[in-house]
Amino acid sequence: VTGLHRDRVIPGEQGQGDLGKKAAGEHRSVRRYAIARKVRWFFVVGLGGILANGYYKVFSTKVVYDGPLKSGCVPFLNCHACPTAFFSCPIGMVQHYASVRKIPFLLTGFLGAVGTTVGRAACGWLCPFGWIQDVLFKIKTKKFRLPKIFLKLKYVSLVVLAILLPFFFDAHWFSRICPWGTLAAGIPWALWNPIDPSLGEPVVSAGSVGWLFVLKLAVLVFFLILFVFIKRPFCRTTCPLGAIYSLFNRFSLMQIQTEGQCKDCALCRNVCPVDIQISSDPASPECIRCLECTVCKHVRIRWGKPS
Amino acid sequence: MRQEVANACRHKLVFVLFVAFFILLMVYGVLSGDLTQMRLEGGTL
Repeated sequence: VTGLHRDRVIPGEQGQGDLGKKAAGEHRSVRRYAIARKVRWFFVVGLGGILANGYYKVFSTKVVYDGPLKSGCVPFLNCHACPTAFFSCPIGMVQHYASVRKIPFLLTGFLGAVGTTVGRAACGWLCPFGWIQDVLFKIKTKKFRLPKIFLKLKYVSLVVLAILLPFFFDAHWFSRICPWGTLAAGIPWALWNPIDPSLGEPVVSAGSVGWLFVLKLAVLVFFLILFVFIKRPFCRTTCPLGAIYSLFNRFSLMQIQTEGQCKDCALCRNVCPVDIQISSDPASPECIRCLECTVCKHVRIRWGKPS
Repeated sequence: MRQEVANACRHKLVFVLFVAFFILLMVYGVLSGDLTQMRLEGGTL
């Protein structure tokens, strides 16, 4: 951080008065953002990964948790069927309500309140699948940029896979092929496959691992390969929850903005996990509010409408 | 300057109204049995 901000004013160097106070304030703010960028990973792994999936009793019960917490969902993708999941997946709930043809008031209110307050921040601060994409993208190889047209696909995914297909055919197709579900639930259950104590039979029967499982694996492998070459392709092209939150990004309370004399150096785009140039589109629907772009001294959070 | 302050206040007011609306939706959802809905009918998830 010191290296990136070596052109910043050091408190005290400007002498006394307002200029010195302003510089000291800027210095503190740079440190706060640097801490936030480091703390983000603890949120993703701790809250999104470990706390939301902390039902370790499954190793003795051999069945998925079905207690009162499963009635609620977390504000990020989290497979309902993951062996250690405490909560439901919001997109699983969307499909469920579409298939039973009821309006999910609680879920709409929950996702709306989160989206209105922080936009897509849950994608950047809590979603473990987003973290996996960021980690795989760090593998050193040739990288590619995603054409903008593909960014619209996530709305197709939301409307067709998560709403229309469950509504008309009672088929939860997004959950069936969700790569995060395959990684967090499908593969662990298939590999572990314990004997269900109540039934006395394996949890995953031999017949249930058929063409659908092969399709799930193929989708997962396809995305895992993409993660190495493209920044967060799943979040930007496929995730229905990202599509829902992106609708709130332009008017959410939490905004990112550039201030001062931005030189369009593209530092913000280079560090951005979703490949946004924040100086040209600070309220972009793709922005996951991860604050990585705050390595640039001209980028700041603003609580309110961007100026 | 005054225009900027007015815009900021308007945005915050809109935000408060939206959040209030969503909280009301959540309350209505809880009262109308959304919490039990998943447990009773969500077996296919």
